[in-house]
Amino acid sequence: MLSDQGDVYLAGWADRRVIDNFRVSIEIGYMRHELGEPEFYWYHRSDVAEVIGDTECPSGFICVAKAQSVIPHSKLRVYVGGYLVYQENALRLKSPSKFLNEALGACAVLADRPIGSTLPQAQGLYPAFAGVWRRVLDKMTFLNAFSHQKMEKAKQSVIITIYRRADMLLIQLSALAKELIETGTEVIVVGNDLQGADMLIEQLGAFCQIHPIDLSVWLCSGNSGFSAGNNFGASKARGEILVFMNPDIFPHEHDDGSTAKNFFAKDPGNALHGALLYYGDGLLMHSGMYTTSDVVIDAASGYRNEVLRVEHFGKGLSHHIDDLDTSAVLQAVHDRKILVSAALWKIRNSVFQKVGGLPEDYIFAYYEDADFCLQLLNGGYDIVLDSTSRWLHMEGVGKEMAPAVRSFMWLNRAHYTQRYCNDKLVVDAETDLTLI
Amino acid sequence: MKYLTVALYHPRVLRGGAQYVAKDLHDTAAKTPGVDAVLLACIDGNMFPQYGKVGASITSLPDSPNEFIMAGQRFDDFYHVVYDKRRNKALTRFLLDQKPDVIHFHHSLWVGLEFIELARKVLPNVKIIYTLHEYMAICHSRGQLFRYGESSICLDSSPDQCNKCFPGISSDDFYLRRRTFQRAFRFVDHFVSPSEYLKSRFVEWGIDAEKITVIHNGHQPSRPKGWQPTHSNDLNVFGFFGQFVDAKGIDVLLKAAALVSQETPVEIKIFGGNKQYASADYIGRIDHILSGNTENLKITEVGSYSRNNVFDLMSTVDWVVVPSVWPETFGLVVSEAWDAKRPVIASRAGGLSERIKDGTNGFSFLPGSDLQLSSILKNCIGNFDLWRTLVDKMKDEVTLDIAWKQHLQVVKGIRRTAGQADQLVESK
Repeated sequence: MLSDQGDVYLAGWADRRVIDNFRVSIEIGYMRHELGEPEFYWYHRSDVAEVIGDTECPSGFICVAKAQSVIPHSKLRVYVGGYLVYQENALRLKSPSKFLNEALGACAVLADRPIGSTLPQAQGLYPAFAGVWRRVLDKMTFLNAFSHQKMEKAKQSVIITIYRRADMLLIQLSALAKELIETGTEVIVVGNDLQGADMLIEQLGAFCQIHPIDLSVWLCSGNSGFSAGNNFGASKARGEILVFMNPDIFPHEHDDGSTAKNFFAKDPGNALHGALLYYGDGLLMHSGMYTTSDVVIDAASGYRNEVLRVEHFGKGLSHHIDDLDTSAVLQAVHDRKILVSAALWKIRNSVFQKVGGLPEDYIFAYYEDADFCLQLLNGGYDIVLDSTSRWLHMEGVGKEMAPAVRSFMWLNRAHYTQRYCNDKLVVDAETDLTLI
Repeated sequence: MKYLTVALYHPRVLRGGAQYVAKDLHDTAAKTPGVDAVLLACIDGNMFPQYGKVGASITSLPDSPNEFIMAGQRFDDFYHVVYDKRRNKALTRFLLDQKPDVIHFHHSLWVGLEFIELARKVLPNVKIIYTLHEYMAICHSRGQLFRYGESSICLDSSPDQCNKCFPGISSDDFYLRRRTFQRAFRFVDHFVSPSEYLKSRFVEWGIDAEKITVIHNGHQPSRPKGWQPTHSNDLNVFGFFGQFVDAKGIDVLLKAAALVSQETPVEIKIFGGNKQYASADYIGRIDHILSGNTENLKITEVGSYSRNNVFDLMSTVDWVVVPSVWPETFGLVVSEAWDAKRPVIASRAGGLSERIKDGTNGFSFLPGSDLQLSSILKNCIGNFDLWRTLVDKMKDEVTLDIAWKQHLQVVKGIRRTAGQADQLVESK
């Protein structure tokens, strides 16, 4: 796989008892690019092992490299160790974003394996993918597609970053409209790769005729991911207090409006505030988060390491949104430094910016909110779970993730692990056994 | 009093039960001294472009003063919302110009649930009533509460159960759908249900029982004065009147008739349109039954009918069978049969069970039970005394005038306080 920017994705197999030179060069048209010996990430391929007879040394590989100053041409030749291993006379060069998605999708062969046998590969591949991701991100632009501004000044700014589908947005805004107006809160919607944007804009115009909320919509030229989308929203915010809200967050259907009103209007000070989140059926899904580590092993290679995982407090408890008593739920988070899910956050813009905003080095999404929380805590700020604030989180369930998504989750987890494996806020495995 | 009826379609655009009820009430209201009646019919402008005018959201219905058409270009058939800027402007102006005291919504399809909220915002003191013609708010499956996959009435409308009928739509989406309807219904002052059954399902779903009044759909009699019912020589002609679709249970009737024909001659007349909407499986089942046609079984597919000729057509059968397998909300065909003095044999599905008292004004059977129905058919064939007794005991459905008066009582019972209005104005 080759991008028009020279990103190269190589995958295949080799009998490493026979071949030990992995010097790569590629010919694109009449230009030859020497890539030196880029890192090959090896993994066991039983189908290959069966054929070549080597069950000990991994034979499958993935390599992501970069050729400089590529002049596009339809003819491609790839040499490894001096041997021509691949040629294509009618090559279709991919744009970087397509390359990224397809290369990530192809990596699912590794991402789908137990993390113990693939963590080193993920940590090795991450920088190459992060480089492509950064270049893709840098090319993104945002367009102001809709603006309905009623207030001279906004006290708070709700930022809703949407990926692809906005089918819950109107329902969500209907549920919040009255409180948005009453608390002087603007809404900034950031659309990543939004489908049906024209229709949405038309519908939002009609919505604002009935609910005169202060609303602006920005459309990204592609998918800027969760962090960059929200960071952009924050850059456009007129309110000092930012409320980051997923498009699937709703107040309880019997709520009298006080949940949104109180959450929007209460100043979080220098802390980051989260809330109690419940599933659509009313059971608790989130009362804070912590990060812990698992030991991962690969007996074949003798590899042993730790990999980080983020856990939600409250998941699996039988506490219902209508239950008044939260003491048992909050027992686990009492006096503990916790993280909170970015599905719903409230933070002063000044604090958000001081921490540097959401980290954009996580590819598309996942683990960035935990990273931000850890940065915040390590920077001396507090995180507060506002247990008086209860919201429904219609988190999609039962849908299979696309291969590319499984891969970037895998890479982001490896990156998160590398960054925080020695952090003092990581909960030890022993404590994790009872923490819920 | 200005009385605005908001309907799904208009009988002149597309015939159907809900639009007939709405139009009948509108016509009756228009004849009432002191009532200024206006009708706004919301239609699919893509299906009936002849009623739309470019750039105009609301147009008049030719030769019908005080009757208007709102031809929509799009409609979200899951959440039942439209959100159209041009339409909102026109509607706001229409409401301000018409200044109705009462708005009577008859549907959400092509009406759009946000219309209710818009009406409340524009006219904070307007009295809003809403007739629940079927279970559309509860059930995304054609509003029928019928599980096509299981061929059974749906008795549990929890979001996870909806997901069984629509595996591609998540429970959360169904939760939000319910929430969207319930939110819009908060702006309604009072609901009207044509049957106790339908009311009970909506109470179970979340509407306060005190906010729903049961008013039967009024019926305009076609029976001439002094007219006497007659029957066939063998009293063995059974008629089906309704749509030729799965939930109407024609297959149940035909299976029962086939069983009866093993012993005695029987004739079935099917008056039903919209066969194109029946599933292939359903048509296959019917073809299979018909393939075993015996000499004793005569089946005639007559085609569609209208209420202009239903009285005459019903006079060509001895008995009317309503074999519905979905919980009918009212059963207009029963009113028509009573008008034509035809005893009704109906399944105990939904509102039908309230109207047909077994052995008193007809017979009833378990929905889908061809065996039970066949026993009833056998008992009816040639039983002249039974037929006469049922015909004599038969009472007509309430007239339109009575139904309209009952609606007026509902309107009078609505008290909108100044406080309620102020609250809404503040939130504008």
